Amino acid sequence: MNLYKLLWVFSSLLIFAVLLGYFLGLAFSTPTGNIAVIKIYGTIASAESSSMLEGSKANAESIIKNLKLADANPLIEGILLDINSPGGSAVPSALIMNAVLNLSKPCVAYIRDAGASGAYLIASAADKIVAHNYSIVGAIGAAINPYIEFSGLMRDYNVTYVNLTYPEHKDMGSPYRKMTELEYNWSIDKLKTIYESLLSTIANNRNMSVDALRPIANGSYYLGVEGLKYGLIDKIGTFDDAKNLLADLADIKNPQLATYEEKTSYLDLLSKLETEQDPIRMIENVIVRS
Amino acid sequence: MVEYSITLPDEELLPSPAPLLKRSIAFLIDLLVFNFIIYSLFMAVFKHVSGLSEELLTLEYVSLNPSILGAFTGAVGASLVLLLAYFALFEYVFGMTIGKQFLGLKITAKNPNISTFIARNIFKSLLLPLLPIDLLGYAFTSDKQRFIDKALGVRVLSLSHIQLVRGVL
Repeated sequence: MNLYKLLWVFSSLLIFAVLLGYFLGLAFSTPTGNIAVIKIYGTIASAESSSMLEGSKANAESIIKNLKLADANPLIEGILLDINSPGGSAVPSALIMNAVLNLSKPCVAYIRDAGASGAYLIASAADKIVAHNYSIVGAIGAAINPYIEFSGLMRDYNVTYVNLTYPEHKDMGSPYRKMTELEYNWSIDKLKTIYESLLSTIANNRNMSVDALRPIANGSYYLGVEGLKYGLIDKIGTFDDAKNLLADLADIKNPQLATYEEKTSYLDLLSKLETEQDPIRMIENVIVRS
Repeated sequence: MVEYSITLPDEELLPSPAPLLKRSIAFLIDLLVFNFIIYSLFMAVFKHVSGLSEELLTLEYVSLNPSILGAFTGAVGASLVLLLAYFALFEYVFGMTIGKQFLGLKITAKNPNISTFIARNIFKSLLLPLLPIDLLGYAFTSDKQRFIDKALGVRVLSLSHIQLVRGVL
């Protein structure tokens, strides 16, 4: 065999092997490290209500999937929740919280600008909570999205609201008529039920008594420094402090972060855009937001 | 009496169908060369870029992330493509692979183009499960060649060293 030809053939094969390995690796890339960072940014929503045009949303389905993946990954030793969210829908928040409670590995939550309402519910399920002095924490409570009621304006302009619903309360919450006292009380009762459940869940997660938590959980938000005083968080610090705290908890010698994020393919983006252009979905979105 | 003399080479190489044992040993040598150099490099790059490792092949993790099986299946497929490239390229350029060079084997083909060598090696790589059937040709063909070789007009020959006696005619 001619030496130069031999070198040429071998070099070609090696270059081919490197390129093949690189592109195949890129196609199946997975986060590497021993601490899984799972971001919860934006308003918490279920996967189906997440929309490209509605700003940042924390997709509950994707977050839960990543939590399970990180927990099942034998190379991951601890999980760091990176939270920057004002809260969101009750059900997806509770589902994420359950996924955090079911983790078999140590978990620390770091609250950036905000970890309020549903986001705080999720953070409470972690083993420890770290936040900045000025982070917004707490805001424990339940709310139905407010709306503007037009019935007075409609009366002034002699506009009639025709109610074609049955039975009588089916259009409860319609902006075109006044809510009755009965309907208002019903709504408040439902919110109370959610609130009591939240209260007992958070108290349980934080090893506090419901009685100790109730005066703090009055719906208001707290700064990180106040949250520490009231026992809503465990430590004031930075993201690195949260990472080091987790490393101590999980006995990780050389902590390396692996960020788990939602993977969006071009196909997903196209299908989302298509959904946005559906007129019925667009009207629904407006109604939900109003 | 006129004395003629001709000068013969010290040795003449007379080709004959390569014995199965020699071909098998040559194949094993090629697999070793491929494994330690080309496959190792491919897997190192693949694992480094993807972040995947065999440790992730647990039932729990795979059930949650079935794409990891796709990744490793893809890696197996890619390494078979590399194996095919190794055999086809060496045989096209040199008429032999490294293993065959060690064992004194050579390939002759009616149409020695790259597609012939890709086709004859497909059972040693991408269609590996069908190789035993192809190998039966060694027993059933007159000149002891694989079926695919017979179809493509390819022969694997052994270069037997025949010592010719210098003589006086």
